[in-house]
Amino acid sequence: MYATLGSELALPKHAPRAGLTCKEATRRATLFLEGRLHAADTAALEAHVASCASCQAYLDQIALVRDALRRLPSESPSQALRKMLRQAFVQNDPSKS
Amino acid sequence: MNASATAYALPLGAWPLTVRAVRPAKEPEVSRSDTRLLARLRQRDMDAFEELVREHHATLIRVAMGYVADRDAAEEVVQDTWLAVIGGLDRFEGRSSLRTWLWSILVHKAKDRGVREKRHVNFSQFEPQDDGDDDEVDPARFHLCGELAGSWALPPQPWDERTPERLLANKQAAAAMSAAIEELPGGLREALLLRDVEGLASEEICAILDITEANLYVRLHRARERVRRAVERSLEGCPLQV
Repeated sequence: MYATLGSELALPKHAPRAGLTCKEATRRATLFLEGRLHAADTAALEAHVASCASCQAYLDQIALVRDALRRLPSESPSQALRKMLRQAFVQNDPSKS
Repeated sequence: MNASATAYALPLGAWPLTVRAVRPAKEPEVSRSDTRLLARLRQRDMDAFEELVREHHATLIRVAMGYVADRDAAEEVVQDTWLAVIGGLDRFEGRSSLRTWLWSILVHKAKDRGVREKRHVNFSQFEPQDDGDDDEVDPARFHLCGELAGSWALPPQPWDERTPERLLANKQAAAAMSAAIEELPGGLREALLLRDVEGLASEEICAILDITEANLYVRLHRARERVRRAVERSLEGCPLQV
């Protein structure tokens, strides 16, 4: 279970705050990148990743995917739809009614 | 907004190795630019309208497709959404951001259309389980027992493509990314698209989708991991598979 915002998602009692396993570190990647980990969990993750090149690679990859998604090329609407929407936009001008 | 959220913001200076790569996503500024955009739209500034359509149209369709039977239906939903935006511009009170309003209209219309097409839509796909390991890193990649339990057995290899631009310039990786998004269940897809493609703030997304922040982050992590895994496979030369 994730460690995050409030008590409903706090770490289970048996989970160590420090000394995370790699599996636990990967599960916290998105919360870390979103800045949603508790301070103690952030410190534990940073300590783990600083000494674990594989988890560093994993975290870098999740961050890279996140950043690449924002830059994905997107398709434009069809000419016909653009024309229809332009007409609707102009015709719906209350100052001209 | 959860008042505690900002209290746990990541200290940027505390990341020794790759500060740039792992910096938290910047929460978008909406207020001032939103007001300006709304004013231009109300003046029937065609450039502003076309900019709005261009920026959001493709993602609107991708999200709508999670609710309806096919691409044609999704395009109709998005067309109806744009017409509703046009028709409602002068009544919009600005209680939410313009983007939240736009996305709320889309989700409402897509759900409505999906319900009418109920034979096609399995809404359980929008309700991911919040516990368990499903859809996170394959458990087989970790040692299962012994002193190394929970440590990597098959660790990820660093990618040569270290910037978003270089990753997208790799055609196989870009294709894998797009295919992985299309294959995501609706609930994971909309979380990923709204957060990572559209750049909406988590609070906005939770309001639009009527979900908790905890649920959003579960969805978001599972979605990102699936896309990461697809990219990883493509970079290793494996055929596309999500």
